[in-house]
Amino acid sequence: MLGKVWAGMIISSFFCALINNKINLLGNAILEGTDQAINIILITSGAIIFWSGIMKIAQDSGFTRAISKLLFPVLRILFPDYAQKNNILDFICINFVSNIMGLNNAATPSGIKAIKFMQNMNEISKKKLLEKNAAIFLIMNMSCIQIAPTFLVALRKSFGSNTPYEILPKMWATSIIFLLTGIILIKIFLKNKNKQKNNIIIYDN
Amino acid sequence: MIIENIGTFSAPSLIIIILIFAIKSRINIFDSFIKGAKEGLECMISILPAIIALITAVTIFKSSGALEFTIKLLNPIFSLLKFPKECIPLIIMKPISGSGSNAILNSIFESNSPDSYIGKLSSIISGSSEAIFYIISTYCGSIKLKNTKNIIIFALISFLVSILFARIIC
Repeated sequence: MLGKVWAGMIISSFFCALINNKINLLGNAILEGTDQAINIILITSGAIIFWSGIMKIAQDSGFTRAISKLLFPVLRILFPDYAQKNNILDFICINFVSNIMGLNNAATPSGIKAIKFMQNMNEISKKKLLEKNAAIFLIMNMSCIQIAPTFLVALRKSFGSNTPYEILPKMWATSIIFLLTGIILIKIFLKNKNKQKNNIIIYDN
Repeated sequence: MIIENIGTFSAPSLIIIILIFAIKSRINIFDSFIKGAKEGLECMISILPAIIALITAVTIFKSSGALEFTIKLLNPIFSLLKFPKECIPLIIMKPISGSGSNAILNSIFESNSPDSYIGKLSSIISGSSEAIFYIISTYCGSIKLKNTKNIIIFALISFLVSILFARIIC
């Protein structure tokens, strides 16, 4: 998907430049773009590397585990089907907390384990259809509430923002709206399906 | 005022809480930090090729006039929802790729201050969600699930609702 978008952007740029008579600018743009990319990486990498270090301390000291435990009751409400299955909830917790703290290396493996468990529990629609809880779990991963969005804050600072952190509360609220809308959509959609299919949890057509 | 300060205080207070917790748990704090920082460095190196590819593509797209054309084409739809036209490319790119949306955010900041309305709204759009298609391909790929049409529709609607909310509160 990204590959096609990327190639499409460059190819359409070429034709646009031809029409607008800006073909001489294209060569320069390539040099400028690569230059900028390196600049961005250099400007933001200090902050990202520092935060990776801090988050590793959080992981090694058991801080992420402690936060996961605090979240357990909340996740039990969100995934009532797994209230008795602590190992699934455990993976969901680790995935969620890792996402919040920006630990992508830890978030993806635990997330994949969680979704595999969820999908395997769903006997009827196994493999062909996405399970309801798995759908909510995916929405949780997409809405990524981040305590410290390092790249974003560093980029804002590099362009001369006086208050690079100012947007965070509004950003968290937006993430929560994303999550809630997703959950509501899934729940509404499922209710109709359940009635038709005699209480079998099926998510998809 | 208070809400803005929460953002400013969140980062330092998080660090302090983590460090106090780490001292109590008696791990080797500095070793952990170095180990994590190394992982961060590796992460930066691993995203470098994608950043170069995408920022260059965005720069070419911009300088050829194609960006302007796309904005003009899509403006009627997004102006109905009262989005500023500068944010349109970001809204299109965000569900597809994180690095791509970072590249576009960079080009938005070149002409709009990060503290301006457009700068803030763009920051919120780019930071409040993950790349939808990337998440779906990673997770649904891991369970070999092909039928992803509904989750994509749900996710895109949620994304649209959330950025509309961002525009209103921004």
